[in-house]
Amino acid sequence: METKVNLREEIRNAYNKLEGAFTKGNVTGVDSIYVENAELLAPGHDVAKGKSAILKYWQGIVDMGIRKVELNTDKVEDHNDLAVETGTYRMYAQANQQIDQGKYIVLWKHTDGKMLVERGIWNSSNPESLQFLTSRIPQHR
Amino acid sequence: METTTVNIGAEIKRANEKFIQAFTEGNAAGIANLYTDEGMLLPTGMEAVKGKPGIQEFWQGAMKMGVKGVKLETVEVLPCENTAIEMGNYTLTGEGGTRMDKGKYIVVWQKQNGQWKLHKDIWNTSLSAT
Repeated sequence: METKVNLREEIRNAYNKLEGAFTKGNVTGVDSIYVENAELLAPGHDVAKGKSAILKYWQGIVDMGIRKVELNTDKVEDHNDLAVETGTYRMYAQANQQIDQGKYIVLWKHTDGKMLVERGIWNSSNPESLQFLTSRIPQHR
Repeated sequence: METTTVNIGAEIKRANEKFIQAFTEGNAAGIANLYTDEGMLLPTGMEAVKGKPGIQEFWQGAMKMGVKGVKLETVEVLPCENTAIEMGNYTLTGEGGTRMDKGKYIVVWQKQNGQWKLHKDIWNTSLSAT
């Protein structure tokens, strides 16, 4: 099924909150875009389960010095109570210095007339992000 | 509903077993055939890859890099119509079964002509870079 306009709008509204948190340097309230038992599958981490773990993860990213995050929806597929979104992201430090860029899949759940994030997973498209892996392979050492 | 969920879980497990077997055999074309024609890979370290030829090339590249085997452990399957979303954990092994990477994945499966096919496939490592 193809994208409904309001679905994309709701996703954008939720991302405005998330992106705004980085600009402000404070993630308080960002958990409102997630379902209670949401999970973040972040690179280099074990799964962050539930709102408080998710808030802690994002605050850690703010504390690392990320000052701007841009999320761009590519495609949304709606399946009854769930929607699958694919997109790309960019992360910046201060002075608009780009730190990372990559892609993501977010599962959205229709909850009480709203779209909330159920699962989020992403990875970097930067080739350097693979170095830690290739360094484990004998012929690449 | 319960029964349906169980069946879909079992069907996806079988599809994953085919994936694992094709990987062990070094059969990248066989892996690519488990994806839909519009199938999409979102691998770490590069832009997304769309379509079977690109998917085959990616897995061939992973094998050339020294990845000898893959383990897939399903954690959860959410079925909705002809789509099922699977969350799981993976392990990549190299020569002699040494662990190269471990992490988590989400696969969006699509049922086509009675077969579950990988439609969107994304993962990331759980190991920290340091």
